[in-house]
Amino acid sequence: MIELSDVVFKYASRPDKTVINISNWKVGTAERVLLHGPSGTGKSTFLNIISGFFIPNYGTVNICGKRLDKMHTSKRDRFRAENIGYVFQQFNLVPFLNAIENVKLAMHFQPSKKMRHSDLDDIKKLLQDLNISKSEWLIPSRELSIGQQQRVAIARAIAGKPKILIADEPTSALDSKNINNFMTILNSLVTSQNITLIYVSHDLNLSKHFTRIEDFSKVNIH
Amino acid sequence: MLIKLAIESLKDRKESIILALIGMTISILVLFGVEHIRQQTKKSFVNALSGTDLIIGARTSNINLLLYSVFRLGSPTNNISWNSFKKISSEKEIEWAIPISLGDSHKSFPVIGTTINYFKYFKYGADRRLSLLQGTVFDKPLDIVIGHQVARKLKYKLGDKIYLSHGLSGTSFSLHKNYPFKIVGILAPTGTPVDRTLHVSLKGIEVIHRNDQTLDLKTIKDPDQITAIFLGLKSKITTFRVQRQINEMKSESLLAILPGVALSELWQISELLENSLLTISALVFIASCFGVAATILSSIRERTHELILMRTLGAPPTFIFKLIVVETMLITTVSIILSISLMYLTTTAFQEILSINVGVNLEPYFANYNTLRYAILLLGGTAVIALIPGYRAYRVSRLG
Repeated sequence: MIELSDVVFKYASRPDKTVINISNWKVGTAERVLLHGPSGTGKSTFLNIISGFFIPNYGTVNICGKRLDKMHTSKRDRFRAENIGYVFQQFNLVPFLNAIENVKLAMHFQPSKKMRHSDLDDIKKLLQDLNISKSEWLIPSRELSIGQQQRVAIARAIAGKPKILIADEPTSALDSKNINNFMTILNSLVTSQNITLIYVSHDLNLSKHFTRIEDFSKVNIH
Repeated sequence: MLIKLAIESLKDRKESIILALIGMTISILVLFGVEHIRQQTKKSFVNALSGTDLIIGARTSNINLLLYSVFRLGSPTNNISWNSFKKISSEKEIEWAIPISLGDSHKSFPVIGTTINYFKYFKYGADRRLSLLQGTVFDKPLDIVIGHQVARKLKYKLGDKIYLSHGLSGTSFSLHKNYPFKIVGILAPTGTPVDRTLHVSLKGIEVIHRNDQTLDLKTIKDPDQITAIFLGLKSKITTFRVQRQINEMKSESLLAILPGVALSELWQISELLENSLLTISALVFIASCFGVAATILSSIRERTHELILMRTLGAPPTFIFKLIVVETMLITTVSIILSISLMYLTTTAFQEILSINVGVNLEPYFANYNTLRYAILLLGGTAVIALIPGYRAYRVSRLG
């Protein structure tokens, strides 16, 4: 599903500093990977590479059988919309749109999946599955609690049926009760839809939710 | 989706967007206002006189003669003798001649002395003759026929007695209390300076001028002098010949002008003013365009997360660029619609007030072909300036 080999990445502004240096790293379909490691080891840069925002200076990036490093920018944008769901630590939703509009917006960028009428039912079902009550569907998302926002973010990220879900410390702003709630829902959805999960967190207490635990400082030898 | 997103995003920043919108609307309102007044003045000037082939007055400039004789603006430099009038009006080429005597007023409205030829031959607009709303034309020296606005503004009706004053000032002391004039006729509205004028016979003017208590109204003669003459010719072909004859008259130095030619000379002067006004309003618009661009630009920093989020969802950078441009264009579009509505409302509301107090006949504003042309220009200008915040957002959302 994900395969990186001999990947080297340096920022154009700092050409002397290698941020990413990965000789070989693979993730299979439906694996749930927890990436942990200290700050400043290039985790965010790494996520930007596998989601196609950054192109490495050397090496190959193979996602779902496609070479991202060979793709043109606009094609990568389309590829990302089609195949990759993304949940950030925060700012996951367009603040002035409500939950449903946020999910619709995400689906809008998937050219192959034209919005159908039944999609609205799917979105509503998904929001229900994520424990977002009906009264919260139509209020601007900035008025939702952080916990609710992160759950809507999952809905937004997986509504388009991506093959890979990338989560960058999505629970760091949540309390322990909300973290458990979030992880349980995320896991059940990812498992039922056969989605490959790449999850970045400092919190090793979450290990039980994953099939594979990776220390990023050992993956990235820079 | 793009437009909906742009609308929601603008609604989300109501306060600053509404301020930018107000600025933009005012600037477009100024532009449309200047353009409307420009067209209306031109129209009212063109409509003021029709069918008159030559205007004759004492030697002065073409424009001055036109302004004082037709528009009652400015003052005559000199008079024409009654003999010259008789001589000119008896020439074989002349079909009709209207003598005009200016220089008197009633409560700031001009009073002119003339003959009944005025009501027979004077034409305005598209060859329209004067018509009476009530009453008849003057017959006796102390009869007076008033314009439509005079009647409305001063609330005069038929049979009212009024006093005229010598001179043009509204508070002239030389009021002729001995000889009250009686209103015998009220003219129908014309939308020309006639509406603001009071008309008496030339003998009536004599009454005002000869401040004499023992005046015998039966024996009073025509005046020795008049101010201007409107001429109608039997054949237009003779216009230039008659004009030359009058201009070369030995007995008195006179000036004969073609109203159309003088009017176009007037345009040349007023065009300068019009163009300056238009330039100023264009500059005001450009300034408010930059204002809107600055508002949108400053919002981009606080929207960085939102823009990057859209990119993560798979929005291409061009989508972000278009979003910002559309947001800017939406402000201008709403401003244009608001301006057109406001123009319509204000011109409708103030039409009567302007007409009565200033004598300007301003028609209500309707969006027309010209408005469309301006709207396209305005939107084009906005689109160009929207490139600034658009490009900024594009850069921000490009990430690496």
